[in-house]
Amino acid sequence: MLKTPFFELEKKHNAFFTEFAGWLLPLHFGSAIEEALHVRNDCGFFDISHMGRIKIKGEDAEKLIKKIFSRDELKEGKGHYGFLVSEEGKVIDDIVVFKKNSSDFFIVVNASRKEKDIELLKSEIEKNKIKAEIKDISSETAFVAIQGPKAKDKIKELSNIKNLPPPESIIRLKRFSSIEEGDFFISRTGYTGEDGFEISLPAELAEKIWKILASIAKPCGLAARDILRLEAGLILYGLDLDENTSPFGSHLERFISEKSERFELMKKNFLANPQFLKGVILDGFPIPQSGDETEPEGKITSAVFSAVLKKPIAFARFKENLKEGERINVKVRGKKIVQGTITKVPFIQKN
Amino acid sequence: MGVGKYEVLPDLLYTSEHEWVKIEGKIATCGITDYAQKSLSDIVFVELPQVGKEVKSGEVVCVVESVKAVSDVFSPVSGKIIDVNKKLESEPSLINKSPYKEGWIFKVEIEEKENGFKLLSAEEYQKLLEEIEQGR
Repeated sequence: MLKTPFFELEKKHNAFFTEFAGWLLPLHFGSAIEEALHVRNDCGFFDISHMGRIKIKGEDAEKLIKKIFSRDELKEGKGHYGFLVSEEGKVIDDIVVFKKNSSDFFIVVNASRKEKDIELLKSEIEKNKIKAEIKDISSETAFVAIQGPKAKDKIKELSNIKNLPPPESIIRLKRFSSIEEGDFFISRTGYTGEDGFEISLPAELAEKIWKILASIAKPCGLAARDILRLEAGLILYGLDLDENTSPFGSHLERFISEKSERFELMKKNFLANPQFLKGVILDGFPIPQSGDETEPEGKITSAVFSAVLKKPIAFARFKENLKEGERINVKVRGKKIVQGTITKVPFIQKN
Repeated sequence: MGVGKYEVLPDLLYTSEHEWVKIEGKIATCGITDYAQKSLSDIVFVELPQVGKEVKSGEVVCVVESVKAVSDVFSPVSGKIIDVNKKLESEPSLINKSPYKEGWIFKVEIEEKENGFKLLSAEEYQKLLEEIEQGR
């Protein structure tokens, strides 16, 4: 099992660990609900060192990205959420592509898909004689997400970290913008629906940043991260989307450009087997599990107890394009029937 | 007594599935241990067993749910369910607050003590927790 550079610190901080995509990661530090609410109201931080970070450099770097990415227009200094698409038009992963310039990119990918992603990038390079090099920096760096309405006020406390870009320049970053300096990569992004920052830094600085963060913000685990992302209507690849399902019909169309190279293939795959991903608020317990069947015909893809709504919420994929307000039944773990209502996502509205 | 942050009460018996049982005459009061509630974190729902149901030691009798995980609760003894902690329906977090007292889950009138689970003494359970902690 892989351990992140924060592992020993998390252990000392009474973390409860879980296995995720081959990594040993904190599930929670006592109360996932408290952690989630703290991120909604104040500031929390997450060890996301398991996430894959890949540098793509070379004169054809942009050409490579455009071959495989679901978006066409890429702005310098910005991150772009979208999909990595195979030659068959299948979605291999959901990723964020940061463009420094047309020959210098930084991409953030799911831990569980990193090997597949790299395989696809390499095969495209070879097949199309693309002049670009890819470098996986995940194992030599630590990665931390600082999230919440007060995240921007906490950043100035990091000024003691050697070689970190000045906090003023980090706070000035606009949503989805990034800066890269030396071994640091910082973006104003996250997976919680809150304002926040994600910082990739040399592994040897992990202890220092953890200690500062633990004194000014709440350490949070994967359970809180799952609550927050689902409340914010953000999908998790592997559950809510995979190679056999499509981002079309899944409130994700805005991340697919008609001009992207594999648009037609993706569209064709969707039309061959149209399915629709919807948000569901359940009336009560038990909390459904991924794979639980629904009526009208469909399946729960992921579900969690919402810390804000105090009810179970879920994503489910249906054969029909169900409308907001329609009622559904879920057969939880093959036994008990729980009812729910199709709801617009995000589940919670931020001020 | 206890291991690190986990409390183990000396006067109870335990199972390897992290349940506790307090035996008074023919009545066994059952719940989940401090370790179990801490690793589950916030308990948001408890599906209580039916009063009157005959259960076997080692059989799943109810379910405890946290924000993400579902955990089966096994009966540590064989017999008949004679009472359940109704308070858990409206306040499941009692298990987090007081796993060994207010957070008890069900009571069994014992028929046979040891035909399924081997019940562990507090010392034996403590040893099990130590092994789990070291295994990390």
